[in-house]
Amino acid sequence: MKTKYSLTSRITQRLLVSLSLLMLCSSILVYFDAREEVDELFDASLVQTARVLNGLLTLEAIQENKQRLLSALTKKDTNLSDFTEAATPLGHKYEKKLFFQIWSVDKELLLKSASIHTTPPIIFQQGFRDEVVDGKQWRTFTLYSEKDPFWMIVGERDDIRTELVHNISRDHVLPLLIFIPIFAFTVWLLIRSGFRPLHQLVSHVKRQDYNSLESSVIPNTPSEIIALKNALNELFSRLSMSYQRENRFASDAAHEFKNPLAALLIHVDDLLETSDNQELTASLISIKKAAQQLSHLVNQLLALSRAEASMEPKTTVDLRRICYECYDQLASMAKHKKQKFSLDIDEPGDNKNKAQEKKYVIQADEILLIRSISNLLDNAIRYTPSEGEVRLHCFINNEHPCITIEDSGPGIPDALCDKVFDRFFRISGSGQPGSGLGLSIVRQGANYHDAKLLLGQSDLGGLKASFVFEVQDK
Amino acid sequence: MRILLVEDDELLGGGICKALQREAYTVEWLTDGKLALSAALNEEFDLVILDLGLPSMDGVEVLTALRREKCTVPTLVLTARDTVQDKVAGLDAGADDYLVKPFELMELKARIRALSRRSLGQNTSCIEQGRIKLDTSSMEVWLDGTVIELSRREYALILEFVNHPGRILTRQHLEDVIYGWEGDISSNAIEVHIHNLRKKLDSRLIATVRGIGYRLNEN
Repeated sequence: MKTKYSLTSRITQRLLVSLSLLMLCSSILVYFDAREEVDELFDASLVQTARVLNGLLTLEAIQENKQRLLSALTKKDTNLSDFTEAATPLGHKYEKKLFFQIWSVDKELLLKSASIHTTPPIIFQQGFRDEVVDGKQWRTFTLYSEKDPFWMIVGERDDIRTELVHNISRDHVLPLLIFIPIFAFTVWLLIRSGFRPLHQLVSHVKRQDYNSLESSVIPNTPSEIIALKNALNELFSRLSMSYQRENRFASDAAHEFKNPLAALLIHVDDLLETSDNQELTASLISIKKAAQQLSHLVNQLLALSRAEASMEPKTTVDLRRICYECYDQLASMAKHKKQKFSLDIDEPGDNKNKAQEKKYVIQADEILLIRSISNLLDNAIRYTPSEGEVRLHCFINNEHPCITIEDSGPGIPDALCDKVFDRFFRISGSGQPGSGLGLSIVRQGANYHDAKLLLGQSDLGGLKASFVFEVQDK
Repeated sequence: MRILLVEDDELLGGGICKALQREAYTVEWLTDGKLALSAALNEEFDLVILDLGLPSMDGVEVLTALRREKCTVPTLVLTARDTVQDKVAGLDAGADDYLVKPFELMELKARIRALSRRSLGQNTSCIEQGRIKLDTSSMEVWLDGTVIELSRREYALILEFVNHPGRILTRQHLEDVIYGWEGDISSNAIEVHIHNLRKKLDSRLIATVRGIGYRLNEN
């Protein structure tokens, strides 16, 4: 289940999308509105032009002055392309986009401006029409002059209006387009600063140790987060209560198990010391072994529950000393099995400076670490046959402090490598007593110290278990 | 040697009592913290074995109260709690040694011997006093290099003399050491044991101080 998204970017995104939609709507509205207004205005001006022309021109005047009129219109038209600027003292290039024609009642063309070459399909009917002339869209107005009967058509290229409407729309949209990224950035900044109390709460919760859950005391918390903060604080206090209860339970259970076990062992020892009956002695030794296994199991169980609760505070520990201690603890057991048991510690080279020495020093729960290493050693010695070899090695690899435990025993089949760390998992047929908890404690120990725990094949022929610790900060 | 055992678990307490008595120790067994405190303050013990989890008064409190009253009796703490903090708390309260349950009898006995040696300023389990040599771990006694067979109570007596050479030990003290709170001691029990000891060792070794008690002669 992957639902990873940021509230900040999600809100910014949605705001942006809705803002863009709004702007699109407003632009469309502006476009159509402008089109309508422009149409009204230009149509009115077209009508007015027609009326003025109508008022000025008479059939008689046209007949008399036809040549003069035509030459004036033509002269003007021939030079139109010379006007590079829109408006000059001589004229305007847009003149090409306007025309007028005058037709007699018997449908003969009397006068026309030169801006169009073909004759438009004239329909002698008054009013506005949209027509295509010379491949261009024109808006025309036809007028019938009654006092001096002739037809007059005035026309105007449609793209004048389109251009104007486009310009109006563009001037409306452009500032908005520039405004969008600025708006997005501002919103993002605002939301970020708005969420700061939430981030503070998150980092507070992250810092919490299971051992000492503190209530959060972030000042100036906004009301939305106060509820979350209070809920978290309440959860913390409940957790810390149940943690204490669990803690107490572990230590109570220890007491309850250990007293009867101690009594059992004392009485068996006592009987063993006085017994001179061989059969009885053998039985007593069996009872004692069972009691010892039971007490080992109780100890491992408590160690595991304690390791899982991470009860002990971390202290500064030198890994080399841990190795010496574990070696001492188990040397006699290995000697008993006539095994070659060695401890190698790579001392920092010739340049014995303090920094090199420090690489072996980590923050650790000493008891848990010693128990983890000695559990691994205990297993190695236990499962390696007599006169085999067990090696404990402590070294620095790539700045990482490492501890490896190798043996010449039978090793662990690859298929079981993951399972051996499960609680109460035991490889059947090994013929060795054990609680099935030792490696669970080892894994817990590795987890607690943020160390990698690797199982592999040893050069000695058996199992190689490695602890790789994190690089230590100075 | 007289030991005060404070342990509320009947089975465990009974086992320790029985095992230690066979080692010629005189063991007084109490199950209550308050009673144990008053016993330790009012009577003379060579060692206190103290369980930390006790009814009415916690073991650490008993120990703290004992040390506050300037009682320096060597104390061995027994406990089911094995974390470093627990051990530190016990030792800081004035314990001399610490044993985590469940433990083996051999270890308990070795620690008791070690504590009593330390309190008497010895450093091995062998004590030599004049012609007498005594091994507290094997409970053997030699006179001029010859092993002498002694009964449990005779051994306890000679150990008390050897541990306090030259000092006059009263009859009452010896009775406490050998019998403790056992009720019916015949009035001349100590005399009988002294008589037997003199017979097995040398009659000149233990001198009678008339009206007071007995003393081990220097040679």
